[in-house]
Amino acid sequence: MLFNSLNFLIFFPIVLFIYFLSPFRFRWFILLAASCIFYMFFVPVYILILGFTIVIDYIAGILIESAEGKRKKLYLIMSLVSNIGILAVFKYYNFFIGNVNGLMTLSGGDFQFTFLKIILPIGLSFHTFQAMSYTLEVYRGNQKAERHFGIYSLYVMFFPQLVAGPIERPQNMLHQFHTKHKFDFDLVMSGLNLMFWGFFKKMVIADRLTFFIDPVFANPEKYSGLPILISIVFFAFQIYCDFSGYSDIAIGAARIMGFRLMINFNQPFTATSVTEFWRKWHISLYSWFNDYLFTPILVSKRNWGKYAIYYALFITFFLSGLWHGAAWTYIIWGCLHAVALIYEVITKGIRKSLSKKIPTYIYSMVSRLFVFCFLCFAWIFFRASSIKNAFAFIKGIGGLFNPQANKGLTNIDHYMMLWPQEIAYSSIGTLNFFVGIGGIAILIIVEYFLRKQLVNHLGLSRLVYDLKPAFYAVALMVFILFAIFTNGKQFIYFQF
Amino acid sequence: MKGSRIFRIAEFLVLLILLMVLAEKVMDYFVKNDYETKTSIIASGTLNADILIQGASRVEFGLNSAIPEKRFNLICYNTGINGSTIDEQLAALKLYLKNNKKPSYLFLEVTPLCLDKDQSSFHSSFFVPFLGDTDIASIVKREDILQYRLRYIPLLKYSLYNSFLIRKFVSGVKQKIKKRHTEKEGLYHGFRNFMLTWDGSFDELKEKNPNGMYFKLDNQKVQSLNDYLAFAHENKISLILYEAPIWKEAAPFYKNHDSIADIISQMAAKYDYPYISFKDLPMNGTKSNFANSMHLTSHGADVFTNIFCETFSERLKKLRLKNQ
Repeated sequence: MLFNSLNFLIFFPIVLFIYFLSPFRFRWFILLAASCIFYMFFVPVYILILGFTIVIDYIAGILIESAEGKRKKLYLIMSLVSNIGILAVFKYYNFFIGNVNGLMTLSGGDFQFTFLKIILPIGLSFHTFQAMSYTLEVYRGNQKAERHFGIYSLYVMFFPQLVAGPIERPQNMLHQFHTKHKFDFDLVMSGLNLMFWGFFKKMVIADRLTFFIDPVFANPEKYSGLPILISIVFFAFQIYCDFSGYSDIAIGAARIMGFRLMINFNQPFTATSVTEFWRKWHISLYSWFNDYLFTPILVSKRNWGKYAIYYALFITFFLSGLWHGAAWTYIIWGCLHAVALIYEVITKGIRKSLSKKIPTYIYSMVSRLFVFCFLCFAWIFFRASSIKNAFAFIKGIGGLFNPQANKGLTNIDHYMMLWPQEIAYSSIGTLNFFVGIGGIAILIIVEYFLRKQLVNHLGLSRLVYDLKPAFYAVALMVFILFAIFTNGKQFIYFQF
Repeated sequence: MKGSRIFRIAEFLVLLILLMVLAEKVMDYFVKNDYETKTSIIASGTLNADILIQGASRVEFGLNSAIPEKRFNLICYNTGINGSTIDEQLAALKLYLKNNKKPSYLFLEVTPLCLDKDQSSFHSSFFVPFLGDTDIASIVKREDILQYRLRYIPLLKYSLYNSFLIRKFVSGVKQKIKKRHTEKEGLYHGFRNFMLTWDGSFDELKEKNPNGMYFKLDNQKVQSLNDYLAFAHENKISLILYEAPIWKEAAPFYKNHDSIADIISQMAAKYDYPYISFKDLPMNGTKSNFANSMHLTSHGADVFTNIFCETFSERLKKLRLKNQ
C-alpha cells in the first residue's frame, strides 16, 4: 500500500481506531495483521518470503542465544546466508547472470544462462537488513532473543517502516512492542505534523519535479545544456523529498501510535563534506553499514594503518551501491562516494588549515556548494538507466557552454519548449516549474527555521502557538490545490 | 487543558471548512471565467450558434467554423475537444443547451474510431466547476467516479486535476483583470488551426501490422452514442451525424471499419437521423490534406469544410433565409 494513496487514507485511521480501543494484549496482533494487509497490497504472495526470513531469524535468534563458541557462529552464519541468499536470488541473480552471459558472448561462447522471470519484492533490502541486525545483535550479546513469535514478526513487519525504513535496531524497537502506549494527544499532533510535512515533500515537490526529470533521463542524448542541469538539480531535491518524505510519514505514523523510530535524515544538503553528508543522509542504513561492515573491517585490518580506512570505505560504499540496485550504475555511484570519502580522509589536514584562513561563513558556503555539485554528479549514475545513458547525460552538460544552444531562450516559455510537448502543453509546464521551485524554497526556509530554531530566537513561540490552527487550515488548503493526487507515484526507494 | 485542545481543534476545523468553501467559490468563479477553455465559453451563454459542431480532434482541427459563417452568414461554433469521448460531447451539449439557445443544426462527427476501446478519454477536469449541475455530474459519475464523489467535500473537486485547473484559474484571473474575453490564440469559434504536415505514423502502423488492424468495439461507448442520440431526439434537435474524411488507405486497413460504421448508421436511423460518410472523397487521396490517417492538415480542413458546406448548402441556405 502506498502512503500517498486513498487506500492508506482509509486504512490508517481504521488501524488507529482499532489499535487504541483494543486491550494491550491484542495490540501486537492488530499491528501484525495491519502490516500483513499493508504489505499484501503490493504482491500478496511475496509475504511468504517475509514469512520465511521471519521464521529462520526467529529460530536463529533463540539458537544463537543458547549456543556458545563455534556453534553460535554457525547459527549466525546460517541466518545470514539465508537472508543474503534471498537477496541474491531475488535481487542479484539476474544481474550476475547478465554479466556472465556478457562475458561468455565476449569470449565467443554460445551458451547463455536463463534469466529468472521474477519481480523484486518491494522493500526487500530494507526488511532483510532489519532482520539481519537482529541476529547480529543477539550474537553480539546486545539483545536478548525475542521469544514471542508475533512480536518478533512485528519487529520485521511493522507497517510504517516495512518497505523503506528507517532500518531499525532490535534494541530500539523490540521493547517498544512490549510497552503499552496510551493515546497521547501531543504525540498524535506531533506525528500528524510530521506526516503532513512528509506528504508535502513527496506530493507537492518530489512528484512534481518528476515531470522535468524523467524525460531527460529517458533520452539524455536529445537534450543539452539547461534541461540537463535543471533535471539533475531537481533530481537531488526529488530524491531527498521523496525519501525523507517517506521517512517523515513513517516516523509520524509510528509516533501517533506511541512508537519512536530513529531519524533517517538531518538536513543533508547543509553538509560541508561528503563525510558529513553520510551522517545526515539515510542515517539508519549508514549506521547499519558502519556497525556491521565498516567497523568490523577496520578492526580486522587495523595493522594496515590508514590503508585500513581506505579499504573499509571502499568495500562499504561498493556494497552500499550494490545494496541500492543490481546494476553497474549503482556500483559506480557507490565507488564515486568511496573515492570522495577517501579523498576527504587524505586531505583532512589541508582542509582544516584552509578553513582557519578563510572566514567560516564563506568556507561553509563554498564547501556546501562543492558537496552539492559532487552529489549531483554522482546521482547522474544513480538515476541513469545505464552507463551509456549516464555518459550521454554528462556530455549534455557541455551544452551549457554552447552559446548556439541557448540562443533565443529569452523567457520561461522558451525554456519550457526544451521539454517534451506533454510537459510544456498549455503552460501547465510553466506552472509546475514554478510550483516546484516554490516548493523547494519552502523546504529550504522551513529547514533553515528549524536548524536555527528561529521561532524561539525571535520570540515568536506564543504567536506561532496561537496561529497554529489557522496555519494548518491554510497549509491543508494549499496542499489540496498543489499536491499531485493523480497516478499516486511510488516512492523511489521502494525498488530497493 | 482538555477544553483548550478541543477549542483549538474546533477552531482549526471551522477555519478549514470556511476556507475550503470560500476557495471553492473563488476557483469556480475564475475557472468559469477562463475563456480559453471550451466548456467555460459554452457555459458563458454568449454563443447562441445557429450551427453547432461536436466531436473530438477531427472536429477541433478539421472543420473551419469561419467558412460556413462567411458563406451562409450564420453563427457556427466548433465544440470539438481533442481526444474527447461521446460522453464528453453529451456533457458539453447539455451544458450548451442550459446556457444558450438551441442550435438550428447540430452536427456530430462519429467515426468507428470513436467507439474503439483504446481511443479517447473523458476529460473530467473540463467539467469540474459545473459539477453542481446534476445532469453534468451524472455523466461525470459514469466516467470518473472518484471525481464525482469528491464534489461533496468543498474544494476537493479541484484536487485531482489541480495542475490543469490552477492554470485555468490563473488564466481566468488574468482575463478578468484585463476584461478580455477571447478565445485562446490560434482558435476561431472553436476551430484550432493546426499547421501540421504528414507525420508518418500511419506508415509505421502499416509496417508493424502488415495484415491490417481491427477496432476494438467498446459497448460502453456504443451506449454513450445511444444516450446522445436519445437526448438529441428527446429535445427535438436537428442532428446530423457525419464521418470526417480519413486517409484513403485507412478504411481498408481497419478491417472492421465498415461494419462499425454500419452500427453507427443503424443507431442514427433508429432516431431518424442521417449519417453521412466523407470517407470516400477524392481529397482523401491527397497527402497534403492529411497530418495522419485520421486528421486533416490546416489546408485539408479548409478543403473539407468547403465540401461540408456544399453538402449541406440547401439546408443551411434555408436556415439563413429563415433567420432573415
